[in-house]
Amino acid sequence: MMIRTLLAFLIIALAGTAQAQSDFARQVVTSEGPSSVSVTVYRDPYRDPDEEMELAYLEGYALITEQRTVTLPAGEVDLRFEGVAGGIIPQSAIVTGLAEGVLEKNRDAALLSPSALLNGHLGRAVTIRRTKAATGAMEEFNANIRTDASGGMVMQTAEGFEALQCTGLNETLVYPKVPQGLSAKPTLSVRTIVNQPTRATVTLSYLANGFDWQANYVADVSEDGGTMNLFSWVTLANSDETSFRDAQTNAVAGQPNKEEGDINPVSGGSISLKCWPQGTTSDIDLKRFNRARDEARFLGRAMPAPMMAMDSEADNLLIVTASKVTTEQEELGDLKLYRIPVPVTVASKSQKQVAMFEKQAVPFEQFYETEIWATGAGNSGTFFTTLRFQNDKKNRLGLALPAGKMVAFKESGSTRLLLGEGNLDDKAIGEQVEVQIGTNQQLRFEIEQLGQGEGDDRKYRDFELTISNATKLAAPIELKLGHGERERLTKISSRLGRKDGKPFWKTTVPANGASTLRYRVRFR
Amino acid sequence: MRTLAFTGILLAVVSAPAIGQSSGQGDVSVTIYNNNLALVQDVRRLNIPAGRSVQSFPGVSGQIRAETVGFNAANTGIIEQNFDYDLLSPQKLMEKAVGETVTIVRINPATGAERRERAKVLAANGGVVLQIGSRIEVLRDDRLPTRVIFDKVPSNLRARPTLSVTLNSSRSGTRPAQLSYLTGGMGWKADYVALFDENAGKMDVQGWVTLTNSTGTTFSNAKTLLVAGTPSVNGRSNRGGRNNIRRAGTETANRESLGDFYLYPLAARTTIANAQTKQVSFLDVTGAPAQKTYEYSNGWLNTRNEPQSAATVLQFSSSADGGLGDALPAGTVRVYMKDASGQPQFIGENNIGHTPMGSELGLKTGEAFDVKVKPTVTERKRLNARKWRTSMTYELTNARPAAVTVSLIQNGLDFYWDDTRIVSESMASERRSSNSVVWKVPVPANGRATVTAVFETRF
Repeated sequence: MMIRTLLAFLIIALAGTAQAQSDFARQVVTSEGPSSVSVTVYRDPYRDPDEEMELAYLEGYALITEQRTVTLPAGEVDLRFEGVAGGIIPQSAIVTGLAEGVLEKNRDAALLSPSALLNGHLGRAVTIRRTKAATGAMEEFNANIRTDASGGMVMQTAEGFEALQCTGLNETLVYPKVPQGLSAKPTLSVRTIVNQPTRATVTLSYLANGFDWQANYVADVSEDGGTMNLFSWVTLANSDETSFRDAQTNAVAGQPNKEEGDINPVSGGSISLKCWPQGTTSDIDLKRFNRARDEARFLGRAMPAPMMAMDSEADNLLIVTASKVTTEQEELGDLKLYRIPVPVTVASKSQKQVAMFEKQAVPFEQFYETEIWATGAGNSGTFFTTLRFQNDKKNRLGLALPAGKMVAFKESGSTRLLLGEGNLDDKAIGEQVEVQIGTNQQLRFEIEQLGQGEGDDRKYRDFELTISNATKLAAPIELKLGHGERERLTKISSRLGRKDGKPFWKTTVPANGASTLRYRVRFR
Repeated sequence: MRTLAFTGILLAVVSAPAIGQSSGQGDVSVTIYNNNLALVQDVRRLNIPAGRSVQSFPGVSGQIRAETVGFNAANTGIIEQNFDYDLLSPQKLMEKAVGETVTIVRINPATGAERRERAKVLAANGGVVLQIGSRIEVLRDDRLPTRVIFDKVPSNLRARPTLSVTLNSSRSGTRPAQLSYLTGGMGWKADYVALFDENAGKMDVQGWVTLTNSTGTTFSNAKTLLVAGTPSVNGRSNRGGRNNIRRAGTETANRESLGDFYLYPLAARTTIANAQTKQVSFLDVTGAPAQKTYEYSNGWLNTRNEPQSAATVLQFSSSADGGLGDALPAGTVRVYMKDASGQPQFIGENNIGHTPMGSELGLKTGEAFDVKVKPTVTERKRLNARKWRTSMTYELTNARPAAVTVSLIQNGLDFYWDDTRIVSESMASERRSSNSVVWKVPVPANGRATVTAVFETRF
């Protein structure tokens, strides 16, 4: 075993040397963009339905599948893919369609930036150009960069050592060329062997961050309040800098598991233009900042980059597509896939809405609910307004309802009134859906303690719960009565049901009236 | 054994011809571990004079762990090793110039005329105080353009953190010198692409090693070896978190190993560029059996007001017999399924730990839209001071057009030092451990099922 291991090492080492040459005879083929693309958007797994999508900072993701046509020469080829999403999760990239397979996939993120230019010329000759403010005359001279971009720029000139841009002069660095290996954007490439020159269609697919979607429901309640028209949108958004033109676009509902630990997005690094202390009339505590920065630098950690200024509001165009197009739903394992049947453009920094479905005259009930603590003497409060409907064919629904927000309106004469807004979780066919859309301030409960005592060796307290209704309509009420594990409700003045394992009072409070419930809580 | 294996590397490396690199690197081999740790061995051709000399090493990792540096060259002895990280900056330059004389050049903003003076730096605290002849001034207090020219740079101020070794050599001449060190900033993990065919009960799996380099340094044409393991660092072991192994395997994979770790050498030398993520294939299996199951775990005896989705779990094996047939290094498994148009779509991902061959795995890929469970505590009853009875009802619903079986798991049955027993239940359960019980509940197509159970808890 020991000898085998040793041998193995020798073999690897020798094989390595023999192939070292192949590194130099490589050809680069660049694919500038896809010929067709499909985008499947997944929701932010950690955003609850009641949270808004933050358009500037979307935390869902998308699967992007691109067809790219490339002309490949024979030999070893580096095939570079340009125009991929900036939020690409590089390790998720899959490349198929290359006859000889993929030797290796690389994502290079050494970006061309002022700091990369400076670091790339460390110890090398550059030109310094000074422009006189008074005359505009330019003066150029050679200098050698003596330190990297992390702590300011020190250069060596014929006269001695100087710090750049500490002088108050108009001065800049002029570089002879771009150092090798720097690119404008992170680049994904694959290395492959091509036996025969060929024109190939390659499929590239990858996950990318910076997308999100949700369902939006609009409920228009009928005059009599018994049915509603339910209209729904698929609302999807792309905060990436890449637009996907004429993309087959889908959205996936359900909760696919998503792990942390993506490879960090890249930045080009930053130049710190710190000079020596330049305090004049007031002291600026530069030193502490510098020390912190130097320590961070030494530990190999970048200083937090300054927050990227988000694009202006004007970029966040809301595009509403013609509502005649509705998404088609299909099953995807245990998830639901919503397909937009026509190619659409998923534009950079934009939100798009496409109709999901429209259902007429869906029966529903509106009621008022709350949960109170049975022994909470002196407590009072209001009720939530809740809409309840059954998601089945009999009730004119019966389709998967992905999580999202619901806004409810009511037509009153010629005006449309907002009843309220709520949200629902993913609801399967056959499930009952309850959406809390607001609070009714005209309905109040109040609990009073009527007395206390001891009977059968057990302490008890008597309570009275009153619900008052200041509206002109009778109010259906559903109320859960929470209580301690060692407490029991007895001598209840009305019949109670049970819901979610708790005593449950369902009643109707008359218009401009009140209802009361009396009960005894016995302590066991 | 490990020593011997490393000797192997050494021998091979020394016999290979050194390749000239402008970065200063020689013949580089890199051994990368999972936990952001790599061993770099760099054989350079150094011209070492006889006697005492200082050799500095450009092109080492920006995250070098200087205390782990080893240096080895024939006929030389090490006097000392230094790692200088006092970096040159304008501020440092000025601070070190206190007491020294510098040249200042004042520029007239109107005419551009220059006036040169020699000035002594008195202090650099919050502002630079200069003595010019008999005057005391603060540098650029008038905000007018002023250049400061320093005569020299202190020799201990470095452009970058720099490693240097002071040597004593018994002869002069060029010879191979081996530098080895540990560095952070390089690590690797596995990424798996699994295309699952639910109807056939099979999946195709490709495994990729993904290595990342954030050291700030490019390693050119390096021989690369990946070690699937997380050696202890600074005496701290690196035991991972969730590994999703249901039953650990007992088969040995047909791969090279080093001690207890499997090795994944890259077939050819490769350049690991700075800020690069590199992926190389190591596994390609088609048609491995896999099946989908549903699980719902209830953490303790509690009520949920809304039905909760059951987890979709993908079960497969790493065995040579009816599985992937390999030891699987830790990483992320991304699962895809074909949609109605035949295009693979992502259906979820999960992590695995280092998985021995022959293991059974269960990966939760997500939560099922259509299969839900609603647990309810219907009653909690106190029998006496130390005994409680809890009645649970679990309502299971299935909106799928096919019957499913849900593994309904009730956890949280260990109560301090006392056990929980099931007094009665509507269907037979299996006690997985003192803490956990499972019912395998069939739920008909577009239907529902109910399980009830009464637990007796003592405490």
